[in-house]
Amino acid sequence: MFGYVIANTDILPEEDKKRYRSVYCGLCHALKKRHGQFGRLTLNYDMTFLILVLNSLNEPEARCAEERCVVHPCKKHCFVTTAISDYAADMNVALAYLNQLDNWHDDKNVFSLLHARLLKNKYRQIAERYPRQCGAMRSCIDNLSRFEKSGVQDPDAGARIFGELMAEVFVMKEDRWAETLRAMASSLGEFIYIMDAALDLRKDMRRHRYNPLISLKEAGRSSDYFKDILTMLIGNCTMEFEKLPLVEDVSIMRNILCSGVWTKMELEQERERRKGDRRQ
Amino acid sequence: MISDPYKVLGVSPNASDEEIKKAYRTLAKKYHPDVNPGDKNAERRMNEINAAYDQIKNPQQNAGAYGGYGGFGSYTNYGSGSGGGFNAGAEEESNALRAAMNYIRTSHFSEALNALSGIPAAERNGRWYYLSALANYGMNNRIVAKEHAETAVRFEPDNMEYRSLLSEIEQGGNFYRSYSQGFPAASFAGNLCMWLCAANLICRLCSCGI
Repeated sequence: MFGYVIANTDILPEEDKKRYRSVYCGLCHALKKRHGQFGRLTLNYDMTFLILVLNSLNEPEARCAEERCVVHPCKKHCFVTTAISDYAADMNVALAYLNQLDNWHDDKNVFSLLHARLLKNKYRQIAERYPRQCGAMRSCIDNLSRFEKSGVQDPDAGARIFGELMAEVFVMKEDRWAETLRAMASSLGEFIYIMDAALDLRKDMRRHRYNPLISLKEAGRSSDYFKDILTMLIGNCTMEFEKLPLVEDVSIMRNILCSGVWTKMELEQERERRKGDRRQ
Repeated sequence: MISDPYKVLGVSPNASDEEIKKAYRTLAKKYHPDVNPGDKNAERRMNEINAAYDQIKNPQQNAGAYGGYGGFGSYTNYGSGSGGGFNAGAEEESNALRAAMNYIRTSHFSEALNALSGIPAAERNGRWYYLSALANYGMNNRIVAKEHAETAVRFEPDNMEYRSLLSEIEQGGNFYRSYSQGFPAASFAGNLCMWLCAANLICRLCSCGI
């Protein structure tokens, strides 16, 4: 997705850091095993949060192993895989495929088309296995692209569309936690959508591109206002998160929700600050 | 309804959140139907444990409230419970506002918004913003709901109804402010360039995949 749902490893205890990395490497491993090198190219940290939540909730049988890989060739490192890493790998590839296809339709990016072609067969298999999730992805991407083309300024609607996608992806099976997971994930999706728009706002305005927050910005809303909205959205997400009976890895997940999700925004603000300093 | 959900989970009523979750997990593992296939007794225990956990963690959901974010339930029976406050001004209230209120009561939120949109901007008062906030909240339009609830409170700062809606909408944000204390934000003390490269790399990996 957008690389927002990451841990702040600076404040993560060594033990947790190792664990976080091993789950991430597990996802990478699952991607390679199930979808080959081109599948592996879709790797991102956001899905690690999905794995942590569903692992902790379901406590499936885990396999730990050590290996060298392309990214870390010098050192052997351990990785953890479960049935959930496989699921996350499938979701990741399906999302990447639809996303690349969308990039091709919107921007005529040839690399996107190429990557989409390479993932096409994999996507077909995944869509057959997970029709609910892939259906939700498809309609989300279609709706968002239609919505953005119409130019309507309605951040709630865009956020909701993206929230619906996240809700279905987080529900691997319909069990007694499905509704809480949906509520949690849809708020997380709303947060990601608004965060992404907020960080691109300046650039999009300069380039006259669509951004759902332009009319709010033009009405004089400050960055504090956007931060307040984002706090509300991630707050709704954490309230639902805390309803789930999660024990294992809960400290890592709280780190992600309380600190990591703000990393990109902090980075952007720091950059602005330094730019300001230089001008003075 | 279980008379003492804490007893079912084997924890004291002042147990911490973590203790409750741990207790639930331990018991759930023991009585899970996958571990005890066909065991009616274990099944009954598991249901009891689930119900106890829900009762502690989602009290509103158990009261049969509106789903999703739980808290909204207090507003769906609005009107019947709040009594005089609303009816006092009913005579002056325009048909459109009354229609919107009725739609909200029956959870027809987009119809409510439609009715509200018929009122010209110049005539929109605190009540209008309050109803709009309610309908938007019902539709999960979080941003507009918050903004309109704030406007309603600005119109009538002493109206408790408006205030309680606003505080419900802001519940998540307020919860988060104390929840996230003790988690410092990421710092970029070192080389900012390196961080930017890393961020761009992550971005490339996910959105472009190339």
